[in-house]
Amino acid sequence: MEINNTFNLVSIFVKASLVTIEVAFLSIIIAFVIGLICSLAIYFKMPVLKTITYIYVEFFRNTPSLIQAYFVFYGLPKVFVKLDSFICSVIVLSLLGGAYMCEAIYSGTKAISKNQKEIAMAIGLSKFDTIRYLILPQSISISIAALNNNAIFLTKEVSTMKIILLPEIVYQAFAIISLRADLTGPIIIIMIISYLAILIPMSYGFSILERKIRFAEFGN
Amino acid sequence: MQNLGIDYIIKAFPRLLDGFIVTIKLSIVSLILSIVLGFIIGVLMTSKNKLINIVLRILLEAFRLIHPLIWLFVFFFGVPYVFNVQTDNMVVSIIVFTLWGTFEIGDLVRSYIKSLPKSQFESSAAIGLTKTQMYMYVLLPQIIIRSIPAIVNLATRLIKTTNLVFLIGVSEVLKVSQNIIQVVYYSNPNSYITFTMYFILLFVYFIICYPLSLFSKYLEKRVSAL
Repeated sequence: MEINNTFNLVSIFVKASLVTIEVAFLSIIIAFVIGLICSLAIYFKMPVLKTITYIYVEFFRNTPSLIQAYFVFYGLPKVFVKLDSFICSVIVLSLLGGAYMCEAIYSGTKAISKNQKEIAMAIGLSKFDTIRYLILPQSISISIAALNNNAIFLTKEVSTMKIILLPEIVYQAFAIISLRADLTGPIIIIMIISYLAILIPMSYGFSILERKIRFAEFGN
Repeated sequence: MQNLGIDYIIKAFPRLLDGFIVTIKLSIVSLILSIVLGFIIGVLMTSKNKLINIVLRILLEAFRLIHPLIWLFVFFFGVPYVFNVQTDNMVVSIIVFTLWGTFEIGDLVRSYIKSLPKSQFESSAAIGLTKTQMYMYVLLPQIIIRSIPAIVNLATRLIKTTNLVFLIGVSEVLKVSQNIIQVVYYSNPNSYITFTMYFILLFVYFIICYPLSLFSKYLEKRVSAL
């Protein structure tokens, strides 16, 4: 890595930010899907799936993401296949996020009154239609704040994937500082700016989204 | 499976335990400090002074939006760069996690004080309590009880997050286990030690954190029934 001018430095960090955004985006979407499936499995009390989901959620919520990443990146290749750091980070973050998203969506589904479920049954909605028209809109509108928090949490958590050599912002900052200690100050500032440039628009956008979606709420 | 490397882990058990003690020590020290400072900050956040409010608000958002890993990094590399002093990695980690916890608890305390009915402030003024007495005898006892579940929850999160400190060279459990893995690899490159070691670590963290999070949920139910 050749660092001779400011432009070079900035372009490194722009690239790193793009990696961060990419990983965060993919893992937020996958995590949301996992969370949705898991929360429905708990909500409908599916016999075996429910237990598996419970174990999965509690396990991922109660272990450090750092060690999860190490386990997937260094531990699994011994018994399974070797994955590159990008795929590994997406896997770890989606599983971690899925556990949190499941908790959030499930607490949304709990808020739906039992009446509504019975009415849906009475007017003859199929299970899929019940999910599609009754459960999803309401539970997501109730849990949207928690979902947004989880999305921001996941984006922040991308930085810990530095340890499995994902070339994101913190990784590049570490790398450059170990080459050029005299650049420490500027690099720390650039690092913080690039994080804020990702996170502030994100949290602002989410607060708009929250206001929009909240209208869907029924009753309260 | 030829060699899971369990014998190595048993042999190195005392060292792993030492690593864990560092983790727990770090969590407990920063938890206690952040509880004390968090209550002070929380009370300050409800003050009517605009300047204090804005400064605390900015700090709160900064510690919320930016990952502790980056704060560790900023303090560990930035402080020597700006002030030309040596930083001790343990001190840096305690400072960062204390600040993080302080603002987490501070925000909670602020929201609890805001949620208390106004009549409590007025009636304590009516019976002639000073501001300090009002906080000491009326408001804080209620808030302390209400914030216990959140504090237990924070303890779980601290235990989970403090293993980041190995990145700035504190020899806690993750660092120790990496050293052990390297040694085993050197003598026996075919062993499954990485797999076993990280799996055991995950399991141990789970055993510590899961009861705590259950306890926090239980307390939450108890407190909300009050």
